[in-house]
Amino acid sequence: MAGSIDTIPDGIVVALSGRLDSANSAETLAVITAAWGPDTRRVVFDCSAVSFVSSAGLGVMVQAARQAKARGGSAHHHAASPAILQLLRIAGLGAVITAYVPAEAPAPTPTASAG
Amino acid sequence: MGGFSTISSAALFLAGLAFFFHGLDGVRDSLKSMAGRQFRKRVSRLTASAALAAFWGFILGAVAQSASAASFIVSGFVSSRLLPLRRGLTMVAWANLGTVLLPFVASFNIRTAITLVLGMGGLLAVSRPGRALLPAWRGAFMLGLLMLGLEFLKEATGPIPQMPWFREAAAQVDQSLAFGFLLGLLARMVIQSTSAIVIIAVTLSTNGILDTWHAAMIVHGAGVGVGLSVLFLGSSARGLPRQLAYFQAIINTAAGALLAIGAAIAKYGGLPNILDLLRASLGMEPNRTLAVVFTVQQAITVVVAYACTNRWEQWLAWLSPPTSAQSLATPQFIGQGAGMDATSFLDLAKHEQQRIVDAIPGLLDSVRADGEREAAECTRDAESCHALGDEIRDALHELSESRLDREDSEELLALDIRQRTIDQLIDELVRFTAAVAAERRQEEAAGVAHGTGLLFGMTEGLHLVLTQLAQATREQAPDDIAMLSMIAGDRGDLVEQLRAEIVSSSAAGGGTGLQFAMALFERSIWLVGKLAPPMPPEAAAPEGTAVSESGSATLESAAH
Repeated sequence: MAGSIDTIPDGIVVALSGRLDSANSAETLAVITAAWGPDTRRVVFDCSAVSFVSSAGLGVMVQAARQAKARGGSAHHHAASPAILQLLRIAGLGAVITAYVPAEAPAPTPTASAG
Repeated sequence: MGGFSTISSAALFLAGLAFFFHGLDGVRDSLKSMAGRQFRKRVSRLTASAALAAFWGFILGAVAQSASAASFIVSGFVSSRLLPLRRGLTMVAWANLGTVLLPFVASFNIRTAITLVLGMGGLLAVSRPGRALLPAWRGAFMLGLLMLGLEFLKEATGPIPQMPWFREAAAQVDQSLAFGFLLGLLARMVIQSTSAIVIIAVTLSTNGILDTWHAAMIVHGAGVGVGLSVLFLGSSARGLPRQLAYFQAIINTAAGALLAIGAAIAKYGGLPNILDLLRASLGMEPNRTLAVVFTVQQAITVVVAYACTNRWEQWLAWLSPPTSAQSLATPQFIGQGAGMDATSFLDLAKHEQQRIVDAIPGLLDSVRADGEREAAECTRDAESCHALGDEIRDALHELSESRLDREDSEELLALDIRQRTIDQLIDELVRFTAAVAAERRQEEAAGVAHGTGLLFGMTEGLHLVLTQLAQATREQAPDDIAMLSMIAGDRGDLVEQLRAEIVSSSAAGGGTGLQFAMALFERSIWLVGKLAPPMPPEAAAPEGTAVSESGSATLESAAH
């Protein structure tokens, strides 16, 4: 997958890196889906190291947002570049994947890593 | 043409090939443009039964005087979905038999007919007396071009039988039946007219260069040559047209090979031969006997075609699977709806429509970062989506002429309106991809990248929305519908802001291509919004989801 998974008390942090496209989107989504625990409500995409997101990558974010929503939670982006922010807005995801507010949760505790 | 000149004949041969291939493309394009409901109905009426298809195939072969030309004309009808493959196969089989008719009954000058078709079609296409008929005039001109190409090929190779080397080779035929068969095969590949080869064989036989046995082997070899020639000329075709080429190749090869093997067994086994039987029973001259052998050979092509009637489609699909665009254009559900009640039929139409919606995201592949297909492939898919849409509308139109209850009538109307919206969306997407590609080329040429990010965002974002539309309409899951409603929402403010940014960052008059692409993007998203399925009333609204008065759902808040 294009990154690794960390956990926060009520959610997971998906640290994306490099490209998120059709080559790794299915694997990334599978890892995210497997990472949901009974108390997981939120998913945070850490975009600080991501260089490229295609529509397949956006699809992963949408599916993860759906999974969060189904659990009464939410989806967020963190440290996204202006280009990624513009992509999210143009794709209509501005209200689906909102900015992560660090004060809402303590610092991520690494527990698992994939890829 | 005076004395045989290698260069001028080679030039004529090349021109013949060029005319043939351009004519073939033109006929197909024109038939595609004409493939509207009325024309399709007319063709469908004319070929409503196997007998009618056989009749028209026979006439086509007689008029075209070429089995190759007939099969390529029929392949144009089949690939533009004016004719089902099964009827096309019947026509091609009978066209073979039709090619033997005219040499017997009349001296028909095909050259004059071709010139007339070319002249009339070309002039009418240029003067455009009726805009609606323009594809027909253009098609006639292209048909003339195709036929003229074949005539050029025949003319360029016509003097070959007079050449010393050919007569020497023909004399060798008397030594071996197999050599005669091979000569006929090669001659047909080059000369492109089996009738012409029959005439050559008759001449050689009459002049005493060959006996009737060996002359007949040339005719049998020519049968196999028809097959190889059609395969060669149709080598660029894929899917359905290629299937017709294979069919023509198989039935002609089978007919030629069967008679050749029969002749060889008779000759070397001392058994009675078809030639001897014909001569004995009908008292024919040797040259007329050859003409009858040719007719029998062509009749066998029809027999072979009918012997495996129910298997052809399966075998041909294995030999040349339909392309994705051809599969997409072929109805998979509504074709099974004959005799079904209206409600069930409407359900099938809905499934058929879903096939188009599923294919729509792929129309952006040529400009997407992840897309692996060329623009031409995407254009073909868009045409196929439209063609399938036409089939759906035709089916709905036919259903509307029957007695329907209120619920079915409303469902039919909704499906029809939806189909029109889908067609509009396809057109907008085709224009959008063209605009994006043009803008990227322009930026590349100017060495700037002002709009690169925006074009990328619009393309990927639009693809995401279209994928979500396909998923939501297919699954009808409330979560999917709610998500679609969110991401296909109005982007008016965003677009205005982006427009202002483009204007401020571009020189005067600049950024128009980008703005055009943005307008198409905005309209496409709006059309997706119109196609978004309503939230199923029976579905409980998921937590945080509200169903609006119009029935569409919105997430109150995706993030807390």
